[in-house]
Amino acid sequence: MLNTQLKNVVSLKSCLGLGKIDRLYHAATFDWQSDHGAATGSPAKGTTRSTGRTEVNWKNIDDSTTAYSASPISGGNNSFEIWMFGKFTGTFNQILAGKFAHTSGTLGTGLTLKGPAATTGDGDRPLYTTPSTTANSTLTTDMTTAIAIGSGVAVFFGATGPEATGKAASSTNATTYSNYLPTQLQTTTGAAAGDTATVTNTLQYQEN
Amino acid sequence: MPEEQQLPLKDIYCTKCGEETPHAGSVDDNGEFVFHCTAKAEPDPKDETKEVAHHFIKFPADVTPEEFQALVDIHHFHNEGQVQASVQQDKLRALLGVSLQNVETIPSAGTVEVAQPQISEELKNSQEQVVDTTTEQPTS
Repeated sequence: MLNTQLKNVVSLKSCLGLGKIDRLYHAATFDWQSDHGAATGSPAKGTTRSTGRTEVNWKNIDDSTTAYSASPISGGNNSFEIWMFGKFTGTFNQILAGKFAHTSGTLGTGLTLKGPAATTGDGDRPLYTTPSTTANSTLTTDMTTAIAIGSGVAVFFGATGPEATGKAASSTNATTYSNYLPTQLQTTTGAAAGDTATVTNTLQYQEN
Repeated sequence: MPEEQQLPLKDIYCTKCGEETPHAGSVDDNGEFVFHCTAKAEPDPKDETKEVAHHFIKFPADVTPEEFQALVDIHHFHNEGQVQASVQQDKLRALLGVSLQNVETIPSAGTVEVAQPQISEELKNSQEQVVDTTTEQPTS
């Protein structure tokens, strides 16, 4: 009863300042994580899991520690894939409406960023494979050009880990994971030597 | 205000001006209960010649005491700018049907290493050989 009535009381929402509440009452705790190493287990996941990531870089090595400048990608070759994902803890009812995209930063000539296809069902969630520099044909989304996050690919959520089955458009699990969000930087011999521009990848989600 | 007397107005204070229990409530023409701070006023952002109460909450007059208190708690905490116990957040979301949209970003970069073309190396070697040949010619 009250719920329905309140939805029509604009002044209340204005008073509460929902824009601010987005931050004040942001109850879910988010953490960027990534998997590395040989695929292990079923469903497969990385041998090692890196947490608290504040950046993930495309390199000629599969780890979370080497500086990208110390492990350059040879022009004409590809980076190892990065198998990152999001982990949600804290207090929330559910996590839903996930989107993933490259949202800012411009990659130079000869650089192509490939990413996952939209996850529209548990059966088409990205499946972990041992990272390599071979072009990953399952990364069918060209993420080279920055786009609005609203146009990003759909992301599903579920329990246990990014590798686990049971991913769905929303998750009510107390600890929720996104599906894997793999990316790979592919280069041509025409790519300029040196550091690439820094780009921003974004995961958008809703919580309630 | 009979409605106000019936509601559990305990531990309420204006978190903006710090006054304790300076609030009043009334039922407006639309039958909605308006709860506001009467201690101080501030310019109306829409019309600077007018003043508006610090804070107000407007909700249906038939709100139950429990629902009212939940909203007061939420309003209270919101203006303190603090994240309080999750129960209040859950109440807020349940009452307002709020779905919060968030974005998490992460920067990424790489370094590209471009090998020197092989033909350049060959030319360089060839030139070096020519130089060497010249310097090693017999002087006889």
